[in-house]
Amino acid sequence: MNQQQQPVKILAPRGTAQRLSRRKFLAGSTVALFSSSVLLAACGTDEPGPGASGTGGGSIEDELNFFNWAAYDDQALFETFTTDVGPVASITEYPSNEEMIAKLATAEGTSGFDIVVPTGPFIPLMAAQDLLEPLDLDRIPNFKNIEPFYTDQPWDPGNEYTVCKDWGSTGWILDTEKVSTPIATWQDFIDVAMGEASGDVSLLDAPNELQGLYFWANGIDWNTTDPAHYDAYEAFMVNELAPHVKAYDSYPGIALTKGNYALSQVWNGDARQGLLDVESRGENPDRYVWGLGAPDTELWMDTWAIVKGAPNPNAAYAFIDFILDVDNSLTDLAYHGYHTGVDGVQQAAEDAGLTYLDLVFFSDEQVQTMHAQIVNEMLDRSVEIYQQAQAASGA
Amino acid sequence: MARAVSEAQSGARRIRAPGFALALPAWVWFIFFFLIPVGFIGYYSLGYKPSIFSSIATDRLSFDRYGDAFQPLFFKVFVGTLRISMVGTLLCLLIGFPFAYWLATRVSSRWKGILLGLCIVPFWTNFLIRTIGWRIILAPEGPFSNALNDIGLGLPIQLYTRAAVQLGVVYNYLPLMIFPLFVALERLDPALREASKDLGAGRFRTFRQVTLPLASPGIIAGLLLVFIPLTGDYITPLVLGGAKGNMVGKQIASEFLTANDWAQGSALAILLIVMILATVGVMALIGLGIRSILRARRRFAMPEVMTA
Repeated sequence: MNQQQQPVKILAPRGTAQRLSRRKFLAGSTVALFSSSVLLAACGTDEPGPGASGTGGGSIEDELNFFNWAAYDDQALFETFTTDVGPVASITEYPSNEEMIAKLATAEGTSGFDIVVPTGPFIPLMAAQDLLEPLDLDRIPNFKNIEPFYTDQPWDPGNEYTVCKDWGSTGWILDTEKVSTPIATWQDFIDVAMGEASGDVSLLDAPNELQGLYFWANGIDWNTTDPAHYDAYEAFMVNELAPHVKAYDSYPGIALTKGNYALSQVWNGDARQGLLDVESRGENPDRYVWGLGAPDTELWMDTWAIVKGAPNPNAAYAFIDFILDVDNSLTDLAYHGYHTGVDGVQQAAEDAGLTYLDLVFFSDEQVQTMHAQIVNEMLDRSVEIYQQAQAASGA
Repeated sequence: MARAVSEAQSGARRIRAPGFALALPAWVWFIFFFLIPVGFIGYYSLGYKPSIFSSIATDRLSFDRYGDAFQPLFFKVFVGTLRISMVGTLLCLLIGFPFAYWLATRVSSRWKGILLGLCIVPFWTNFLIRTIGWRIILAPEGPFSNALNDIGLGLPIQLYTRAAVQLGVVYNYLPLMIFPLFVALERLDPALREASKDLGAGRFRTFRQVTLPLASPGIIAGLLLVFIPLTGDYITPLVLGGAKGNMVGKQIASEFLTANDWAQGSALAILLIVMILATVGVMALIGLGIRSILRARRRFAMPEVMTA
């Protein structure tokens, strides 16, 4: 028995490492310490790990390499997974789907990653490019736990490549000590961003979110392919809004509550993390106000998928099955703050007394206003405008 | 003993290799890790991005990417970068020179090693971590800024501004200025300064006509060592700059990583190299010009001194 146990490694690229807050960093170190003690404990026994039994196609490997969004899952879950099933997780992070695809496509199947977390609309393109391994759902018994509403999505019929990880939406969070104007719509957001909060605003660091912000505010379908709409969007974003932007930050939740911004475009789970952090610091969370994007906003779903050429496919299947377990799903939800689509997780969250659940679970009326992105031929144009907006903010 | 020497001499004669052999590793390094990659970047900059999943295609070569890079927006990023790097290099010189001078001429040799060692200590920490450390100091509601507010002072430099990037680059590159300056000033024989003093020159004149010219190789080395990597820096603007403190390096990284557009990124990288070369060239010309003017003036002053 020479099963080598290693601490959970966080290989953060320079771009994302800046978002590793002190708190997260300390949490990570604690996990590392904890794993070393597991390692010591493991040295004392000669029992084969539970992972040695395997399911289906061969035994479960010793490692599992994630290519995931920054600080997206509870570290304790990876620890539990290592203890219960065997493989040791290592995580590399990316800030946007575009960047993730760029890296996987460049590696041409040699990336060494097992599990990746693409957002729904990007899946058909990734599948067509042979970046994803088709899933054998028989090897994921807990797939039955996902509510039917979150399976069989238009961008992945029959869950051929992916299963739901969690879904969420986009809105804003503001600091009432710096912004007195109430914000009810994206147009209000823009007005405040260019007025009261000018120079103290963060937007999400992703091309589609900037595109959405403009189109939702102007009542235009954000999946439009009309070049005239894009011309207007470019003129507005680059010449008018960009000069007021302080930073493009995909995780502004905690940063805003530490005084970095007055107003931020934010994903719901990240806003919740910010509010929880305020509470944990013993400060007043009422100072910060979350709002769901209106009149229209985004509905995104992130998914678990197996990378083409994954070196540890059995461990990958084992993890996906593990995370779809209701208890594990609840643990993850309590951490990231997004609905996991697992049947009964809302009830479990209420029973567990989790707070800020209005930022996690949305009413039917709210869901009606959310629209999924369609990746179309305007993608390159959208990325180009995003690049120019960033240049314009710095100019 | 004598036998050993003669053996060594004859041995040296036998395996005498051509002179460039010693430089071979350096040449291999230079060719494989500099010339060839830069050649690729130049070649890629003529290509284009064919689709979202391909980074580069070169079946159709053109200068279009350079055209795109010359848009007013990117041009502003270049100007902003040049301003940050020139101001940063100058600040490093202004801060580094007095320190290096003091260290080389006023500190006992026992303390010299310790103080020089302290300059190296920050390098034990990763560049990125050192830069992230400034985020805590510059955070608007961090402990440092709260303490300053309590005593009635505000934080003079805010995170996510160009000033924050300026501060970050000076902090990160200052040691690269101090070391060559120290080496140059350390080698300077104190007898020369004493001689200058004995011949009637004041402190300022000794500094201007003896110390400065003799230290100039160190100054030039320091300026180049700081200016070149600083201009291409992308970590400091990424960590401290937010949207306001953008620099070309960050734009290039974004072209390669987010847009996955290697052609555009390569064109920007080539333009950055050209900008650095041009700046260094112009500065060298200005420096040479000033030197020849000074020399001409000094030569003219000679007879007056003689007759007096």
